[in-house]
Amino acid sequence: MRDYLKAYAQSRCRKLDDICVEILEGFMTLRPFERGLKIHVPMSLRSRVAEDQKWVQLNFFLSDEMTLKVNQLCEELAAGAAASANSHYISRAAVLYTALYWFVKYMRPAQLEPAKVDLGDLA
Amino acid sequence: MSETLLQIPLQELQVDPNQPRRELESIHSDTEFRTLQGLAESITRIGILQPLRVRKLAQGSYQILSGHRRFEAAKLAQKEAVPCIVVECSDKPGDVRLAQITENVQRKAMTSSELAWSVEELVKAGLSQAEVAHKLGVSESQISVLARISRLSALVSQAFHSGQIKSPRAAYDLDRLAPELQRQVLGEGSPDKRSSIGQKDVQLIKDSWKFNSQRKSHPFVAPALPPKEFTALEEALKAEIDDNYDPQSDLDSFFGPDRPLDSVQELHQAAPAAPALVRLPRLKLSQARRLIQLICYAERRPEPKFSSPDRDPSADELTRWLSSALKALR
Repeated sequence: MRDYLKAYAQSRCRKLDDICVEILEGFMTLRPFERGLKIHVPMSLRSRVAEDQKWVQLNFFLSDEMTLKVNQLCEELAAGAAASANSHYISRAAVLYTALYWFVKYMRPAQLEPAKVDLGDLA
Repeated sequence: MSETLLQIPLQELQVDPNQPRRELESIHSDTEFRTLQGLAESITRIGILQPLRVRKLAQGSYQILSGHRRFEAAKLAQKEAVPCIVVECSDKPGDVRLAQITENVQRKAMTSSELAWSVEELVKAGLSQAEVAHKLGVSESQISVLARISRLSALVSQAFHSGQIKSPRAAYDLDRLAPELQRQVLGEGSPDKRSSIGQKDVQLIKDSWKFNSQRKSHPFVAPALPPKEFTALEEALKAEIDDNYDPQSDLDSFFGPDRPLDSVQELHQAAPAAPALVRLPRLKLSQARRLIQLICYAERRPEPKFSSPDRDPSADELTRWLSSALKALR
């Protein structure tokens, strides 16, 4: 996912951090989690999967203001999910991962490079 | 003119205050200092490969004719003496100046393309980029750029090896831009195709695109991934829980109204837009001609006439024709 986001950032001549912030802003403004998007747990926190497949953590820098907003959103989501069995899923890492997941899966899914045409032996 | 090879102590060498190497005046600048440091490291490791050229002065010391950078680097490397060729040269200012510039005029530097090829060979031989940088006495980022030259896209690679792109850094930067922008920088499809492209040209287009891309547009073409990476990403996105989510309304809100890539079109306004090329495999000229014959036969149309009937059509012409024909076939 990181490599794809990096390629996306490069294609728009932007830095990965800037793109991540843009995604996060969109995620918090549009609030897709209120319309059916579940909060996903990052792979690196799914201990068994992380060990098996060597998932690594993706870090990015946020401004103080943005960090505050993310924390507020986490609290809001945790309060909303308190009654459900999945309340332990809500964490700052999960919210950030879900924002990136939302973008890569639904907003800007990757395209498959067109296969090369096999022209056979024309010589 | 007789010449003698001697090991001369550094304190016996004098710099000519009027020497023609003006760039040495900026020796205290960071960039020049780093370059000299690289040369000094190389001198420490393998010594001075090319002796300095000096002339003997009346008071017994020597004046450097050529090799001022080697002299400064040898001082940095704390060498006591350096190999010098002592040439007989009169005190006439004209003769001295002539002796100073002859070596630099005769020397032909390696082209960037040759340098990139050599670095690639070294990396293939098992040296890491850091090791190559260390051995050549240049920065690691320079080697990283040169090593990337072998992996350039076909369009940029062709322009670089034909000499249209002058510096490896410009080729490296251009390769990282979207194909539409690459074609624009190279002037593909434009009647006034640029003969020389530098880093500034690439930076200009990059800045312009960056400015325009601040405005989001939808649909925007997402990066295309090779099958292996695409499958890996699909695997990564497999979730343990299912979403009941329709992204359509958010797509419009996030990327704005559905419209073509206006920013790219604006960038293309100065030059007529080049037809989108279909990616073609590498073909021999005979293969390309046979393919054209087959397409013309299949579509029952006459074979195309290229710009110069006496000569073979250029690779550019063939690619353009085949791209449009294959696109029409689709």
